[in-house]
Amino acid sequence: MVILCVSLKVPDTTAITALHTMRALGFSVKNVERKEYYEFEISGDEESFKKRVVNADVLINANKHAYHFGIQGEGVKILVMDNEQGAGLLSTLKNRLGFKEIKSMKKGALWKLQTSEETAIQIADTLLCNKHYQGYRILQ
Amino acid sequence: MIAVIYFPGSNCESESRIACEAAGMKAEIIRWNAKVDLDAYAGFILPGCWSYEDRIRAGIIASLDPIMLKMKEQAKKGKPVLGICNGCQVLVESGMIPGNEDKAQMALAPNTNPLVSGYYCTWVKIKSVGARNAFNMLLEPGEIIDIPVAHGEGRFTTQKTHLLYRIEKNGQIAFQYCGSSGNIIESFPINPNGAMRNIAGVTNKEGNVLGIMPHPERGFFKRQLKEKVMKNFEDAMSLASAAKIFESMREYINNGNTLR
Repeated sequence: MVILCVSLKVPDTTAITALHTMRALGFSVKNVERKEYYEFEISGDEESFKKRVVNADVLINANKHAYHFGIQGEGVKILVMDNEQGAGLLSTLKNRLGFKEIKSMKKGALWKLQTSEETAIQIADTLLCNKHYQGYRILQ
Repeated sequence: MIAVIYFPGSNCESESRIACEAAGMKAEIIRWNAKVDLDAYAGFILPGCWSYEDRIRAGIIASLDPIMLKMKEQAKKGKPVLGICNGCQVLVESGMIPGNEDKAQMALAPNTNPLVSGYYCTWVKIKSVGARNAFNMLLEPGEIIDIPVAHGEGRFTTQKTHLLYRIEKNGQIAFQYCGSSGNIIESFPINPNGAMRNIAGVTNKEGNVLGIMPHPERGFFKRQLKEKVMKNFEDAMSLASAAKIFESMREYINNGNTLR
């Protein structure tokens, strides 16, 4: 499995708004980061896939995005995903951009909160996730 | 006077105000953070588009705004609250519809659509169903309305299996997507977004709060309709069937916030 995390080089207004909202709701949070999270099941060579996938501009725009593979950094990491994953992006990657080695793909939002795990769970339940169509888990 | 609440990113407040006034209700646009007494208003509209740019997800930030606590108090007094498109998303995220609890019991999830991924706009037909409420008093049961939709997250869904049964039984499903003869076919294109039971609009149990995903303010005058067959200017400016949603709101207010 290949995990790709994509973040903005420019200020992330969604993360900033999320932080303001968390504080307005009374949660004690030092900082919030947000990344687009992609999880790929592939066949074939992982290193070769990694070198090619970072050039897929539907995922990474070099002018405004930074990226890394795997999970990094400090803070409580909450991964929020839609229960039903759309097929559009996978179809684009496989059929238009030639990533035939992708067997399956999941997409989500990875939030890193500088707060306690207990507070992070309350924030996930109140703000980050609507359980009627999404789910979340804490990543270690 | 109706208050049309403007959040950062709303962009349908002007059309909503115009629709209120054309339906015989005075209306003014007020900012989400205005220091006003909501007791001074007879009813409220949460208009469409992209409050807070849909950051995190559509409607969530606005649903947690302090004005929504005041909105809940006003709704408890029986005043009508109409949420259109993003306004509907705000009402769902706040729990005001279907209204049994003080938190979201449903979601407006991303559309499922075989043609288009994401935002989708088209003309649809919706049928007035369910119990009498503040927004269908002047509609015949089963009346069909031509109305546009324009959204990427309009799919009513819930994990609470009994909730759907309960809101159906209570008559809280106010509008369903339908075909030209009123037939409810739970598939695209009659259902443009995959919503459970073809739900286009839901009320609270009391019937004074409605969240509707299509835009009645965009199908209010005949001149706005897709099929434009108009005799003259007066005919063009006459009201289409979607106007009855606003006219019903006026009727409800004039009846002292009762459904007689």
